[in-house]
Amino acid sequence: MIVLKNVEFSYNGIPTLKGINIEIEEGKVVAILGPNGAGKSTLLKCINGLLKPRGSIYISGLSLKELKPEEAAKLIAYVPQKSNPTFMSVFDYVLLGRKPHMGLNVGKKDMKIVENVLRMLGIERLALKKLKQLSGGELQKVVIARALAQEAKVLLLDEPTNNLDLKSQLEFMHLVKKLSLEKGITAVVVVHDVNIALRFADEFIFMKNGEIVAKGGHEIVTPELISKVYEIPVTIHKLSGVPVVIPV
Amino acid sequence: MIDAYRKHIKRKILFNFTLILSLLVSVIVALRFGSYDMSFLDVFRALSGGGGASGMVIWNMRLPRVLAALLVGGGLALAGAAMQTLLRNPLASPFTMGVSHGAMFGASLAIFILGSGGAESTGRILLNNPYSTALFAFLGSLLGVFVVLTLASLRGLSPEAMILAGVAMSAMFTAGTTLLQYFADEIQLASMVYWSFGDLGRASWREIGVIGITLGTALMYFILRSWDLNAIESGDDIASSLGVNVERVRIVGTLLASLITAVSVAFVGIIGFIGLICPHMVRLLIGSDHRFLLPSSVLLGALLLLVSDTFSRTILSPTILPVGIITSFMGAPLFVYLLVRMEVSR
Repeated sequence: MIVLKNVEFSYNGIPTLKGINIEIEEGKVVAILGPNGAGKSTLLKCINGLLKPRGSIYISGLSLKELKPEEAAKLIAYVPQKSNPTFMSVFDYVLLGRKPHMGLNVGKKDMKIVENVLRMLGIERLALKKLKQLSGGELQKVVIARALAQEAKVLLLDEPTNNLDLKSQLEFMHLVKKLSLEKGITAVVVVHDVNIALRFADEFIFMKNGEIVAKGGHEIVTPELISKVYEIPVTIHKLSGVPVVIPV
Repeated sequence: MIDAYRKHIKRKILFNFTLILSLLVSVIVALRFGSYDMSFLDVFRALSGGGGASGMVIWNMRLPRVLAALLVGGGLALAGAAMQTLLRNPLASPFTMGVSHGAMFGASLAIFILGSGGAESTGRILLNNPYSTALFAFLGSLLGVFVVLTLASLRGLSPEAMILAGVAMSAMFTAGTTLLQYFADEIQLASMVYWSFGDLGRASWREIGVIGITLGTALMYFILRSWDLNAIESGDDIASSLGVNVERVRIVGTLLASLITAVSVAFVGIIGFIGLICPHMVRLLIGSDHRFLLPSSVLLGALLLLVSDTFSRTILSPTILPVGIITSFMGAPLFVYLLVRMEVSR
């Protein structure tokens, strides 16, 4: 479980997060939504310990402030907005996820974990390719493979479906959903596309100007809320059982 | 898959063995050739303690020079590889923090105020006070590094800002050097220019010891941190989220890389190209996993500088060409060849 109590953060004196209180249950897919500059990415970086906010954050009952970086890395895996493809091989890159667990030497167990993760994502054929040689969809899978090799129970994803085509977007979110259902992983995902969020998330956190406007399950997603958050009039229709937000 | 990965790792280890083997051969060849003629047998005899005159030549002249080439070449390549990763810039080199310009300024200052340069009656330029020149060069080279790193740690400069600050420091040192040169007499001026041509013959056993200890310390640090460097190459946020203290590794790493460079430059002058290009050659050949990139860069840098130095001593013998000329003449075409071949096969 992730608990945030009165989390506040300022960039150069400008408050970007104000009085954030959240509780996230284990094994849920949680979408963080809101317009640009709402503080979504900042919130994610605070939960990850990349930024040091005021207030307190607990991951599985442990206070984030008191955790050493490598201990925190065993609990939380993070996928930033941009991953720069290097000449590193896919296997080596995924092996990076084992960094919090291993020393200089790579153990047999670490390699086995990498192999299993690549198998699970169906990308074992990419193992010895270089990151630069991958397509956008493949790269995103490799990036999440690295996060999975970390064996953390919490996965923080910052706009993971940006730059992906429609098929890859859906595949990727299916994967996130599957991980939460089968492995009990908690996924906190910053998403721009409300409809993608509606399809895959269990819970929603709507943010604006550094504050939480609304949080809860599907029932909170109403045309009024979306209109208020994004400042555009919308309607919500159910198409084949899936709610779809349509700007009017 | 694990087997395929192991094979992939073995290839990199094999590459290192090839480099070590080539190094051994090059060392023997370098010891054998020079203006004093001797046979391979003489070389072995001298190394095992005998050999009379050839023993003197080997122990007092050629061996120190060969070791200097190995340590300086390896050190510059290591510094370059580390800087390129730490500063996330393929154009970063051992000199990015202003080390070479600072050293040039320091050496020029020593020649100007301490009169540590001079000319023989034959017109040959001498550095008649090499220790003070080396000391000033060393202090000058670290001055810029300290300014940039202090700013980086106090103000949390980004790698891009660190590089730009390094460029600014270099510009200031260049201006200082030009000012000194403007007021220098012709012998001082000639000494300054002569100093700036790297010369491996300047290092004696004591200097080799200093360079060796610095290189050993830095190499150990970087090898122990090779997974951290792999993480940093993937991005600062990813590295931090994996538990790496990015800022500390960046500052300590830059300091160590600059330190190896400063020691080398102070004792043997400025040798360009190796530090910038060797790491890229290795990346093209075996990829950028730092567990192998770093040792391979050291070996390749050592090999390249030793071969260049042997050429520079022998092609116009008894005249010894500045080794920097040869490294660039030999290295640049080799690098372009690799670049084109590897980019195409990519």
